[in-house]
Amino acid sequence: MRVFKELKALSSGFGLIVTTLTFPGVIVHELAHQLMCHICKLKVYAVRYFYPIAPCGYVIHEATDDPRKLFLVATGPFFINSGLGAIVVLPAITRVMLFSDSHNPLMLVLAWLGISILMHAFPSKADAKTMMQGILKNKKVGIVPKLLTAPVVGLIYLGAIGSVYWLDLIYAVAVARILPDLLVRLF
Amino acid sequence: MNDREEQEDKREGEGLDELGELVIAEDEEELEQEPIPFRLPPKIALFLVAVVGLTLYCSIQLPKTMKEYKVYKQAEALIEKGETSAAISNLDELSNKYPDSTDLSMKLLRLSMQEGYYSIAVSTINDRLYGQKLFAVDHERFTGYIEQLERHLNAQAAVSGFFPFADDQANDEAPSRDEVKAQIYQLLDQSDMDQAYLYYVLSGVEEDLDTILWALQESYELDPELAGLRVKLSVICRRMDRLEEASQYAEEALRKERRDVEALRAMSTIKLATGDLSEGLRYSEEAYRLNPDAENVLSTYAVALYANGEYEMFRSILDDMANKGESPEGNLRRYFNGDMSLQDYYIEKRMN
Repeated sequence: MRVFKELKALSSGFGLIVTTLTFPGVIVHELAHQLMCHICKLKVYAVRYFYPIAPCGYVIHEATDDPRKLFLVATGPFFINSGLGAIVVLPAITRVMLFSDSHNPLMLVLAWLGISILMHAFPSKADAKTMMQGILKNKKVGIVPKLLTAPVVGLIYLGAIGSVYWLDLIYAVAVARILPDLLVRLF
Repeated sequence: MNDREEQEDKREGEGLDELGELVIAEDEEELEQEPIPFRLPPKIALFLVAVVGLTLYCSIQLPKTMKEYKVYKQAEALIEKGETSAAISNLDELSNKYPDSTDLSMKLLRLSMQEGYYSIAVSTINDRLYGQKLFAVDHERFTGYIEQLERHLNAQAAVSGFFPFADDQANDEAPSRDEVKAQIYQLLDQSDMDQAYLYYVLSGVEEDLDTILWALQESYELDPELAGLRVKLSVICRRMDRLEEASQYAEEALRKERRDVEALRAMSTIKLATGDLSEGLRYSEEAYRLNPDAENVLSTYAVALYANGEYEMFRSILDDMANKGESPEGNLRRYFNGDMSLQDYYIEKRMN
């Protein structure tokens, strides 16, 4: 346990540098939370889009018992960052990695931007915690939403743990490398 | 507990962890804050505009890039489907667009060599791969290809030096057929020459059907992918009444290139010779659709139409031929006059 903590502490310091380097992803992540709050008509009290000292970004919003709203607000960044990141990264990464179009600065910027956005697609542990408290531990919420949410919360926790082992980067690279193959097979 | 852990626990107690961003205010009054409207700070708005702009740009680029990626990724699948020339030419076009891509050029080179598109392989090496840094495995393959292409180019250069039939303006000083044959036989002893190519050229100089077949079979043994070889073998086998072999070679050629006009025509003649008239017409129709101007395609189509009783279309094709200054002569005329059977027209009578 102690080893894990130390590893996490070490990783966190380095993680902050990585987060700073990939700041567009953090901003998009917070914007996605804020947008979802707006769509779900939840009041927002404070937003930090990006700051190079932890916590790098956050959104503070009003509480709700509606499991759908909680789910959307917590998982919104996953869908928005994944979708946006994929659109941005696919043309760039294909041209830069495969077609060696690396002398095109726009493609390099797009590759960096896309990977940054994808790396911050995973909801954080705090997002999972809000879902845990607002849905799983909420007596007013029925069994069906709980059953549907439980695996998502589990996955988010897994993602949060996995981020120590570069799961966020692995996810970003996987989307950039696997999605083109899937698209080519589908169309 | 060290300082870092204390800080971490404190943050988590506040509902914020290092990379955690979402916090629910349990009691609005405790926050002593007014809700903020959905209005973005200028810097963030500018950032958002830039991201949306780039996303739109990428959305436009995405289908084009995916189409290019498909060309790269599905080249082998396209070859499997019998569209070899399309796969190679699409890859060549892509490789021209991205000349720095070693992956792309190596794939084009590998497939060109595999399918016998040697001129494309040569230009890929000369224009895109020469002097590039390659992985060890690619380097080994690359060296092998260069040796093979050098032998091919040596043979081509040697043949073009004395082969008068390739030159329309052959003059009186050009060597006789026998001299050319003798020179090719001499080249066949040289290990730095592409033997398959030399046998193929020899088949064009020889007149005796058995010798032509032997030369083509030798060539096929050494390099079955040589351009036009299978079709030529199919035609010779058909002429020699070896229809099963003729059919096999034509099928192979069509598996490689299902729109190969010469292979379609060859297959049509085999079907007509074996009495399968409707199939003969189908193949010749396809060849005509792909290349309605080629003289041999027109004549085969005319034969197939005549054999199938499609006289109206047959006359239209004859008119078409006449407009191009071609009229049925010799055996073709005899066949249309009813003086010759299809078998006699397509299979040569030989004295044993």
